[in-house]
Amino acid sequence: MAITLITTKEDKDSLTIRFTETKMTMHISTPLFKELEETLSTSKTTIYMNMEAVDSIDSSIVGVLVRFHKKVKEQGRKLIFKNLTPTMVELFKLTRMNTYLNIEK
Amino acid sequence: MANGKVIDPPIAESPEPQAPPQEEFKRKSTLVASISLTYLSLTILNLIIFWVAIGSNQISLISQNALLSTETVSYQVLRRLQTLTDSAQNEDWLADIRSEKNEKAAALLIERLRADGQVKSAIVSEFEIVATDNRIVYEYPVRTQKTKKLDRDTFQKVLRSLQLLELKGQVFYGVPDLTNYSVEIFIPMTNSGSRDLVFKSRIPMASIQKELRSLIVLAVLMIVMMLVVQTIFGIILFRRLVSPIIRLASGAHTVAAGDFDVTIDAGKRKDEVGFLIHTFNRMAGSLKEKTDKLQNTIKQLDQRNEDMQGELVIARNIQQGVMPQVNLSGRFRSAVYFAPLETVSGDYYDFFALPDGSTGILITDASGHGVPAALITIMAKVYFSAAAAKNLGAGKTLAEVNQHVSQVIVTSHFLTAFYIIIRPDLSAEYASGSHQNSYILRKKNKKVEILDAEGFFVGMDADSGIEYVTKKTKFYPGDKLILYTDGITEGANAQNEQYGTTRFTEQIIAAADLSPDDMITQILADFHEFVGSEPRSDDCTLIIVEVLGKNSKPAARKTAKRTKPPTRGSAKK
Repeated sequence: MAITLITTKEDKDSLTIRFTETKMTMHISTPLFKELEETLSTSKTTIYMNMEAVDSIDSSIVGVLVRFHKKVKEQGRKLIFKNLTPTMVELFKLTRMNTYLNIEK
Repeated sequence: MANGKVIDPPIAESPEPQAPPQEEFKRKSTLVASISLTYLSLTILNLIIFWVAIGSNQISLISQNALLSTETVSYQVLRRLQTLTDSAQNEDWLADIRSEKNEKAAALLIERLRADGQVKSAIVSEFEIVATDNRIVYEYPVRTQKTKKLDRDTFQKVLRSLQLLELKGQVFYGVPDLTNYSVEIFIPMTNSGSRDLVFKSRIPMASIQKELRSLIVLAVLMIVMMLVVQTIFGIILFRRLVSPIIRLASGAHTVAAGDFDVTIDAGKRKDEVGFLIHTFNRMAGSLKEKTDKLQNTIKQLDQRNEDMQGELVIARNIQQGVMPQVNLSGRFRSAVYFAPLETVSGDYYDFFALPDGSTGILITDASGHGVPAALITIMAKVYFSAAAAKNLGAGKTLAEVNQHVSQVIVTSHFLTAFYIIIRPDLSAEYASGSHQNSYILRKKNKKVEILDAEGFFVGMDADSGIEYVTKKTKFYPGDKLILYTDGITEGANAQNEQYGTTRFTEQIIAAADLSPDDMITQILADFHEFVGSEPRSDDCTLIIVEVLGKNSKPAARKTAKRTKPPTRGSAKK
């Protein structure tokens, strides 16, 4: 049975993706991106990325998130990050990802 | 530390994979002992059942037989005595036997008793004649010390015999004494109207003794036969069941020790034990085959790993070839600590001599580590060298590289980068692609100035819309520029606490008066003291560049020393 790194929940107008891992590193970057790509089969135009369970990510996962953001954007949809933990807020700020990605206030 | 040399990182000990602890099996009993004990218990149980079922029954029969014989003899004695007492002439004999001088009367009695062959053989050579007042009127053989009275229990039997004969016409005899193999008889000596004398004697039960001895001999024979039969069955059981299990246990022990070349002989057995041995042999053979295959695979993997290590060494040499071959000189004195996590690094740094005499200093960190990150750094070298040569300024240089690299990288990889250009007049401009803030350690006040500029990852998105902002600063002789990658500040100890920028900047200030070489040595000593034996999780690079005064004598340009790759597996994956 494949490891599931995310769970998804569809609402009326959006899809919410939630991570199951609290610490994500390079070693899950490839399967993580594959699982994220599979969620794009949804017809929803707004995708929420619920980060409440995530405590830390390394640079590889940063790359996965940005690449997924680009892919969603190319399809004319919108990816919104929400429920960032304080460490994630700090990381996004330091790397300027807070200006590049859509983060729910 | 010589000017500009690259410091070898300490090679972390490779953690040995530890097998999960296995509880050692301690054998406290043997199957042979358990079966023998069970078998012995069954044998004893058999013997008890045999004795209860046959032995006790036989004893009961023997006792009944003896009592019947006793009863017969008793009646015969009674009749003999009656012939003596019933005739009128024997009134005198009765008077004589009661008298003090009764030897003659007793002799007559003995003669009459001996006249009956069966009685003669049955009666032991002693008897007593007891009166109802518990007076022993005669005892045979005559003793020097005459017994005057019977004990209470015996006298009760005397009275009982009188009652039994009077009321029921039966003779009384006691319980067989199996110690002496005899039985007491009490025969009232009667004549008309007078029954005040009782003949007390003891009949030997030689037949009981004989029959009991026969029974004991038979029992011993039966026990011996049973033991022989049980032993034979035990040997058969051992050979058929226990012995194969012992051989299987020995074989399993050998297999557990790693020797799968084990075959146990099942003979011609086609039963469950034969099936068990056959299955065990198949299992051992299968394990041996799989182990051989595994060992071959491991051998092939070792060979491939060796080949890959060789290729990685070549890759490392290629990567080191793209790093600056000499360190900064002229108005600069530099030192570099460059420690790849694996054989190759995702960190890359470079020094550029620009056309207008300026010096470009670059540090980058590719996402991830290992070979993929190293390949990104090679690509970065190409694009940064081309862009730096155009001397476009710090921000525009990063922007141009971002445009090229974004189109080339199709994976999730990217670079962080910090690029600073120091002009001949020591004015400087810098830009950052989401890299860690670099620092200037001012000589005049020993304070750390943060070089922070807005920008975004290099190679991630050509159309991110985020500008690489160029900021300006000024160096003065004695100032030191500190560039690093996050492998330093994110180095963690056993408590998972990170080294952090606060402790890092404190160490920079503490080492402010030292040369770049000595600063790096001191900072690294503190870093390694903090992380302890915890393996690193990322590449580490630390560059310190000191700006010298105009009249300072520059150190000789030295070729950068290359780092040795750390042992594989020395870091967290």
